[in-house]
Amino acid sequence: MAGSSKKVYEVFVSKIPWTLASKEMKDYFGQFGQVKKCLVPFDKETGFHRGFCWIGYTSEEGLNNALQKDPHVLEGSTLQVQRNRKVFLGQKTNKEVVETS
Amino acid sequence: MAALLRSARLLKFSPSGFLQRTGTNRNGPQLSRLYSGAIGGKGSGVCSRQIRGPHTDESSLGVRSKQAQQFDWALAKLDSSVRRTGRITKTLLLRIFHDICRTGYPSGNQALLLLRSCGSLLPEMPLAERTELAHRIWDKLQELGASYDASHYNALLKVYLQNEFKFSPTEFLAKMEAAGVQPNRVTFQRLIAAYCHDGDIEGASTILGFMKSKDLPITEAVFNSLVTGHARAGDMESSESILQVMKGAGIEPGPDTYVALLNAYAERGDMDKIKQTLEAVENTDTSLMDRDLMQVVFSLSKAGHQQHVPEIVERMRHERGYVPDAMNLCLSLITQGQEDTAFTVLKTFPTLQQETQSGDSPTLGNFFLRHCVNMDKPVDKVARYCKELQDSSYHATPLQFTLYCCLEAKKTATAVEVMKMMKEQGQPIRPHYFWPLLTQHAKDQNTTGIMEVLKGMQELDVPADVETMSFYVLPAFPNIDAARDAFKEMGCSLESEGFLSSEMRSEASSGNLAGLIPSALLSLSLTHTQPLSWDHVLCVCARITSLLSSFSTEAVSYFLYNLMDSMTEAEVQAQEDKLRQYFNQLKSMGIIIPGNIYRGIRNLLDSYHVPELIKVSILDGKVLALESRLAELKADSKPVGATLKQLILTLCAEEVQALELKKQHEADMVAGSYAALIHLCCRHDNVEEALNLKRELSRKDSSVSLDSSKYVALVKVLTKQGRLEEAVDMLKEMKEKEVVVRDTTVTLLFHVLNAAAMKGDVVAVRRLQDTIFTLGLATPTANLCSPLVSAHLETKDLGGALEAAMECQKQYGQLPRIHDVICGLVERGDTELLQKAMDFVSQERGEMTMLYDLFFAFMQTGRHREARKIIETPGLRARPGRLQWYAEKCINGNQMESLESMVDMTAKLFECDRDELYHYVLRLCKDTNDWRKAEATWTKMQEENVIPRERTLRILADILKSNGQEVPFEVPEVKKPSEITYCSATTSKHSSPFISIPSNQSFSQIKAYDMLKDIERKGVTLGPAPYDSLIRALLLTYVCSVCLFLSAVGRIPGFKLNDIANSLLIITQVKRGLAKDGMSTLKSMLQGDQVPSKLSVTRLVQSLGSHGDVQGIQEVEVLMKGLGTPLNLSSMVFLNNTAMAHIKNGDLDSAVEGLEAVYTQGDGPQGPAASMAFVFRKVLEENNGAALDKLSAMAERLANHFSSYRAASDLFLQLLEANMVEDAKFMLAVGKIKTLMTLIPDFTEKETLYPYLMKCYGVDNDLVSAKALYQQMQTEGVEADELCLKRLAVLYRNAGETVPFTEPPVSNYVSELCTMRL
Repeated sequence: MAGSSKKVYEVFVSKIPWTLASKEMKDYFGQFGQVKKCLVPFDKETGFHRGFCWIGYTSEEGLNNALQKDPHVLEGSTLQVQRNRKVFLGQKTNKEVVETS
Repeated sequence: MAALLRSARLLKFSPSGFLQRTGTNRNGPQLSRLYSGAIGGKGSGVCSRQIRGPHTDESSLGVRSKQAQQFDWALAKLDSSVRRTGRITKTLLLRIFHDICRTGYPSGNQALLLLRSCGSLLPEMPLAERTELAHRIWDKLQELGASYDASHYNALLKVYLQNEFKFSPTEFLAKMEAAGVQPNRVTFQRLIAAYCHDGDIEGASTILGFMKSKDLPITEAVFNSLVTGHARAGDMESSESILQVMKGAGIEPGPDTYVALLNAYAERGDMDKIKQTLEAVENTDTSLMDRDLMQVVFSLSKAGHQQHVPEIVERMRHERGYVPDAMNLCLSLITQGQEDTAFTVLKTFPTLQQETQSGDSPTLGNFFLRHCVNMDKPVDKVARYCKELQDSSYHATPLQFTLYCCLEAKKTATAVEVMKMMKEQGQPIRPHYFWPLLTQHAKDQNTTGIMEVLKGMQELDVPADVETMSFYVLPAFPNIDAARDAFKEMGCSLESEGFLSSEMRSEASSGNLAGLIPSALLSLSLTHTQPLSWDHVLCVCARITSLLSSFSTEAVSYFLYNLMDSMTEAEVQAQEDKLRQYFNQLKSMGIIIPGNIYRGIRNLLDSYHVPELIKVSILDGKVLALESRLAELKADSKPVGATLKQLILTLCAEEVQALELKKQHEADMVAGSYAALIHLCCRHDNVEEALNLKRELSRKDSSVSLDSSKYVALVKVLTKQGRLEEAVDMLKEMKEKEVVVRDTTVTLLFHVLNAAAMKGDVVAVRRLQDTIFTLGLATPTANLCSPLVSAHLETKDLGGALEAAMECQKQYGQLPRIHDVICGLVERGDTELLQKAMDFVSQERGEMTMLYDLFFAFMQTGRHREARKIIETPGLRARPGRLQWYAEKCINGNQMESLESMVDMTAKLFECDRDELYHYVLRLCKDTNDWRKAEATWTKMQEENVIPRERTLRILADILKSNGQEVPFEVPEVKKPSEITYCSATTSKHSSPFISIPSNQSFSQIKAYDMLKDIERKGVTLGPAPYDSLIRALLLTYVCSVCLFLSAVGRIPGFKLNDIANSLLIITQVKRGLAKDGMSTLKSMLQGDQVPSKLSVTRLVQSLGSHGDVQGIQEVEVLMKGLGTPLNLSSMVFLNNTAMAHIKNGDLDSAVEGLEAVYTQGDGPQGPAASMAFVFRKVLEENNGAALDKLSAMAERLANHFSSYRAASDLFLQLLEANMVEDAKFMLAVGKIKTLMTLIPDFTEKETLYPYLMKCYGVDNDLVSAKALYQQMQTEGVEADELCLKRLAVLYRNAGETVPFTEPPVSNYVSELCTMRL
């Protein structure tokens, strides 16, 4: 439990084609480091995801590895990967969870 | 000048970039297609949407209900769709239609707008469906009271033509006649087209003869129809000869004529003739656009000659706008079963599109695939297109996209087919592909649909995973057992990880612990109704989790989350220790919860107020520190100077006095005071004093800086007095001191510059401007740059002005006052400079801007002929902002001629909002009260097929009315209730009375009512709209007798008042004491799904209260609770009025009981905020002593025993309001006084307050509090009077203690008071 409250090293991924979902993202981003979190929000109305996701690494190394690679091409589509800024502001994290949990 | 004109005309032929941007043709721009519907019956419309998100922009549609803006909004919506894509989607049109219906009483122009959209603007809809929709709209709107005039019938005809709908022209005419609508020239033209469409030359000739007999002009459109007519009748010779006839009649065959001829050949598949004609056209003045050729393609394909299509397609020049037009063509072809031709066209698309995909894989043809899916084209055919698209590198993933479209359109069978193909190609099929198919079923709880999709998954060997199961499948079933049964039936595995885990999830989320691990736990008979000890439960939970963890960590996390979620706050709080133990246990088991779920749980625990449980300290020290610092600052900053500043500010009108004051209070002067004084001196041009003050201020406190307005004031006054360098220094100082520059400052700076410019002081302007910009005090805007040009213009130095403007453009990218410069040059005839100016503008701002500049300069200087040549330059588009700018200029300057010619000249301008332009003209007509001009404008609009917006119709009606003219159309309802105008329905043959009801004169409503009765007597049936407005007007003034309007309502079967009218009705009934009637109105409203206004319900409840109708109030309360959208009525409305009803019935105890409950029963939803002031006020007003006594007693009880002071404070305030100050004083009890003290901390009259408090302690025999109070009084220096001391002494004595002060002598008066219970 306590471990989870540690800093999470997150990237924000956008431009994800509709054909890819959680599993694919986790598999792909796993190559850069251990993925602790992978959140792909889906739209309950349409059944499609919203085209973006968050990948959380257990270490900063994973995060940096992911950020260093460019471009990220997965199944022919170029994903946009950027550092997730929001996560380091303690209070914002709560908000994010409200949206997704 | 001539050279300039030539250069403008040359554009037409120049291969410059400008030409590529052109897209005009006389078929009219896309916008005017919406307005005029002037294109032939060809299929057009576009779908350029690529993958787009959910219908976000359309989803807000339903919310809109303000009818006032509705037309504009609907028009804008449709317009933007047409502008972007050249088409309208069915969804959009239907939404707008429903929205218009929902608001009721559609206006004439709304009807026109909808009808006109039912033709070729809907290329994705089959022709028959389009006509059907048009008829549906026609009938529905008529039913809702829309009245139709000739324009509507003409629009319907156009739709018929575009949709190739077979109808009988004679019947159509008969229908118009029956409705009392006169056909006009346009009607006849379109009827001729209809006859010709069927090759019925005889029919066409009859109408033609009729037109001639009526002396109606025969236009090109008629001849074009005849070309088609003869050809369809099989007589190509006559068809061809029409062109000669036209020439004979003095009409040159236009592009449309040639298109008609080409289509005739196309229908016969006569390629030779087509080629000949195309060559012939090339030798004439006219030229055919791609869009024209597209019609030929369409005709060829429809007639079964698609083999010739490529030849025509090759001839297309791919002009601007080709892609949307070609998309429209493809969509129409697909809709009408010609998808193979559509595919041929698609392959000719310029690959330009790919560039927009920014390097990603190409996706050409998305729209094509989507429409094929929507039109249910055979899967193998679509697959063939996909293959070809992929093979020729048009599209990287066409099958995937096709699947996307199937999923989006929720076509399960097709989707499964496509997925099978994808699978064959080795592409992965993933569980989430099925979610779009499942969502709707899940929402509808449609288990059959769900099983169908699951079957598809099975066929594709895609196992449903946890998420699929728990989010999309299981929720649709009433319980797990039902799901299990359904699965068994289908032969689905129940042992899959997905099913089991999601079963867990679902059970845990429903809190059904028993259902979780049946075998192990059922024996424990764990149910909610029979709670076990928590030790037990947690032990079980731990076992569950350990079992679950063998599946996946995810399952455990969800279990935990749902467990927490299903526990109540109280439960969690009570079991905090146990839960902590449990969590520790989990930790020792090595279970790790993913971050997002962890945070979800943490949030839950937060909301249960047990955040410690998860051991996360979210205490933010920084915030606290900041807050305390803020508080400190606040406390410290109470300077005496503030008052001084106030004084100076008020004295600012008189400089001397203010300065005087400053001298007196030198020491107390604060920065603000200095600033005010400096500003003052600047205003009075007293630079020296201002500078002195400034120096003094900085001597006193160098850290203080003036604000920007003071600085600018200094700059201004310095500039004014020619002390330019000092002014510049001042600006520099502003920069150094980092003075905040606001928008207002920028305006002030502009005024400084402009003042200098007006004096023609170019040097000063330039120096200041440069300084301002280089220092970065303001960003260079056109406005800020303009003074430099103005300064030159002021000295009539046009060359200098132009140079200055050019300099601004080069330096700051602004081109200030170029219009004035160019006007000056045109006026002076300085061609050389003008050429220079034009070259410069077009180089810097593009040719379009240059042309507009030139156009307006010619307009401004009255050179209309030259202006027309400019504006008619092919490729020029409307720039609404610039047109408006000039129109406003004309309106302000009362230049009708200039304005009119601009409107006239822009008729063919691409994307020109015609209604907007005519509205400008009408505005000026209104200003000059020229109804003749207004009427002529109206006729012109009809000629141009412009759909007027409501405001246009209204302004026109206003002008006509105020000149005593009849208004020949239905005027849209005026939204202000103060003025209701109506032109009655066109159903009347006898009269078309115009009812105008200004509601401030109540008699005229009666008059209007009489008029209505009069009309009825004449046997005219009116639509519901006039009744509605009349009733509302009558209700507004509360003068009606109930029977009056009820009789009116009863006259029309099925007539319903709308929400507003009904709410008004209730209020009126209540006002007249007819609470029962109000009640029944409310009930009928709710039955009709109407929403009453808050005010009407409140009034009704109040009325019921004053009638003593307790039951009635309860009934209303129940009704309101059942309302879908709560009105946010305070529950106190009901409570207070129930109390009033009880009081009215003399049942004071019940009244008190009801009210008391509000405050004693914990903090309900109302909490301490509930006010019963209303009851007190009413009781006081009615002078009901008995009730007041009871209520006061209650208030006191509440205050003393329940520490609930609200009732007491309400009473207190009401007493004060009722001017019963003494009573108010008497009722002050400890609690109330304390409340009061906290409410008004600055309450100064402590001398008054404390004795009362002391008195209360005396009454309560509360020595401890009394002692404390006495001490407080002493520390605060409040003197205790005799009475006070005496009371305290009595308390001491009663407690058997010695009095620690000299007891005042006992006077009769005092002893009397002290023993009194008051």
